Amino acid sequence: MDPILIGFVAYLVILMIKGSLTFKYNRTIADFVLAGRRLNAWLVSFSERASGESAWLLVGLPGLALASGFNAIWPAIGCVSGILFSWVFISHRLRTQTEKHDALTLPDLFENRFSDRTRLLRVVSTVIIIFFFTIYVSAQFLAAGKVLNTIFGISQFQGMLIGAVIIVIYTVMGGFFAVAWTDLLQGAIMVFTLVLLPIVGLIELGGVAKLSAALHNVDPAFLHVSGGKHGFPLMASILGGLGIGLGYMGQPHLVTRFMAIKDPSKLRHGTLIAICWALLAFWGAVFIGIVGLGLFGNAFADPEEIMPFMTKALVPAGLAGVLVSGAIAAMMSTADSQLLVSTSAISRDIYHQMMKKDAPDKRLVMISRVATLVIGIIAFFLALGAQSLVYWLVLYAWAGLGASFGPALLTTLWWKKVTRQGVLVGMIVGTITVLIWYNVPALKNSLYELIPGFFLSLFSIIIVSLLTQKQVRTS
Amino acid sequence: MPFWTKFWVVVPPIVLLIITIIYYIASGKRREE
Repeated sequence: MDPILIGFVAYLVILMIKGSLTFKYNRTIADFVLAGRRLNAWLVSFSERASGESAWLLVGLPGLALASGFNAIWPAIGCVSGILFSWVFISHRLRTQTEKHDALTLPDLFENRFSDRTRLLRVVSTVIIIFFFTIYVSAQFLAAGKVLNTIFGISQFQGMLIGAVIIVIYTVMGGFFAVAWTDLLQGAIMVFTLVLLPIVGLIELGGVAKLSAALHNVDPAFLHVSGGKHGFPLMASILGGLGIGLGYMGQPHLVTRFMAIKDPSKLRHGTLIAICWALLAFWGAVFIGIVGLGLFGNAFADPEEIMPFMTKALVPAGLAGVLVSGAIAAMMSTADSQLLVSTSAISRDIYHQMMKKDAPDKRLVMISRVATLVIGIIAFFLALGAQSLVYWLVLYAWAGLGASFGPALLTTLWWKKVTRQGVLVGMIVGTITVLIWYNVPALKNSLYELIPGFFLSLFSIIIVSLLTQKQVRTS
Repeated sequence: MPFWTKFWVVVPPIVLLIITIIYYIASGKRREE
């Protein structure tokens, strides 16, 4: 039997066992959507990191480095800076303020923090979450189909079905506990893959001097962080790369992780673990592409093939199974967290808070499980029947969420003068800016849409909050 | 390998790690106080 297949099946069995073992921990809705705020620093940091990086880190970033050489270092710098900012400036305040305001979700926080009786903040943020995250989960299912199709030769439909069924089953069973525990395993496999592969490649190549000479032979521009660009295009590529990092603080499936730690003072340990993980993972991902460029040149039809290609070419079959599982782990760990955020939007933000305030715990857990199953099924059918729509919409997801929730969350946590109206306008301005910017070619080609989206949203929150201060004081 | 490539590949991770360690130590001290 194929050793890669044995490794993969063993991995799936572990996920299912973890799901069933955590079933009994879910007695209340806080257990299901937030692990009852009972997790330690290792679980929280690995869960945040594994959920934060999808197959893009394992496959996409190495592909970018293969296509553009050392110019791919900018997204790595931007992303790790964004992750650090989020851990330092968001994690502790979000954890303590959500407990203070009895909030299990971001819509909960916005509504309770501003005593919003109109419920507009809850409705707008819940709609944005359900819309983007169902699409996000759907895109991860599509990625599962693609990866499993490439590795095992099964049809894309079968790959999607296997990925979706496994994720939905363990999330329905164990909720946040299952997602966090499986993220720990998935995060470990991901970082192992990203560290080992470039080292093996560099040894095969014969060291840094040989790598430098090999890159020079392919194209000297690959050796420069400018990627051979000058002037405005260079500035735009650097800012665009760095700007991706602005998205981290606005991703509900990531910041929710901070809220689940038992002792908020332990978030400092989490920060250290998460940044060490991120530095190893991002620099490893860039060097997979760079070393691949030195070893095999840039003649790939699809640059994203480099990671699986390099694995099969350089690593013994048994170990290759583990490394290739890294790409699937990256996809699954992101999909389960996104599924859980959509679930909390339905069971907590809509059902519990807007329809049935006095619902018993048992029913709320049941509703959460049913919501997970229903969203999983919808995401699966979207992936099956509306692939192009999913691919099109997911392009907006990172920037859209980053621009709508990032500035809103930052100001809610750090600025006393922020008002309900400011946050509401900021969320809408951020989303609309991203949508417009992306669709105007002249704007899209000049700058990554998250940067104007984020700052316009931030400015509008500040301006509207200052304008509505008096109104708030009077009322 | 050009100087600026070495610089941008090596310096940012060291700086980010140093900031993280400073934050780790500072937040630990704040907690003790």
